[in-house]
Amino acid sequence: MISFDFALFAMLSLLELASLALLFVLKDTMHAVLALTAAFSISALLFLVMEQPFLALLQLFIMVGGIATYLFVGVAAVEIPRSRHTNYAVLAVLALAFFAAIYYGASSANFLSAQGNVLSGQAIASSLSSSIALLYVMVFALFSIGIGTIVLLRKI
Amino acid sequence: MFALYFVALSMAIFAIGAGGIASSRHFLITALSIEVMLLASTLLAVTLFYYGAAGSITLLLLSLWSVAATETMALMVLYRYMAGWKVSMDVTKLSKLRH
Repeated sequence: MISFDFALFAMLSLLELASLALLFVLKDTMHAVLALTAAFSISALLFLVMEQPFLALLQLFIMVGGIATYLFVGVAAVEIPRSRHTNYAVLAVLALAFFAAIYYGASSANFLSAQGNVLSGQAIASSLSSSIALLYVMVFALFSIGIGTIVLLRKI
Repeated sequence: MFALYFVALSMAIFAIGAGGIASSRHFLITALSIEVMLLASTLLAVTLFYYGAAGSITLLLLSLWSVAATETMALMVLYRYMAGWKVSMDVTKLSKLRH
């Protein structure tokens, strides 16, 4: 008898892997970005399966609302002819080889039993408040790199 | 036991991203493969903190998201300028950015 959680996890995993495969199969780069956005959204659902609604929301805000949106605008600003860009056989072989290598390396690790939800809203709020300075540094670094890249490229 | 399924899934996603970087010749698809690897790292971090470790994962997740956002921003700017200068998107043909 398969539990509801496992069935949900299996369905979401298959959807996630399918959307990642579409990322490489689709020839149009805009469609590839759509596939990546779907993968980000499904990973937020996987966080919900792990009973982490706050992290699921953050994942949606940052990855889908921020990164995927930026990718959409960037790709839409450029018109590139469609062409096949990935060797499917090489991708399949390499992905399996990497998976085997990672799994072999991690197979000896001992996993503890669940210790409950350590990612409660209160814990996140308290740790955020203690690292406000680091957050400012991260945001500053983010924008500096973006603006710096533009300035450097205009000078080339 | 359920944790192992999440760990295996994150490993599979990471392997797909790594395989994509190695097998794809398109500049943007290579960049998207890096995002896939960061997604796998995020999933693995949440899984391990939920099932194994104590403490807060917030800083680690914020660091991962910041790296992903910063890298996306820089790569999109590069992509836009490369397209404007008619530089080939085939990474095997890239030599100088000024071409």
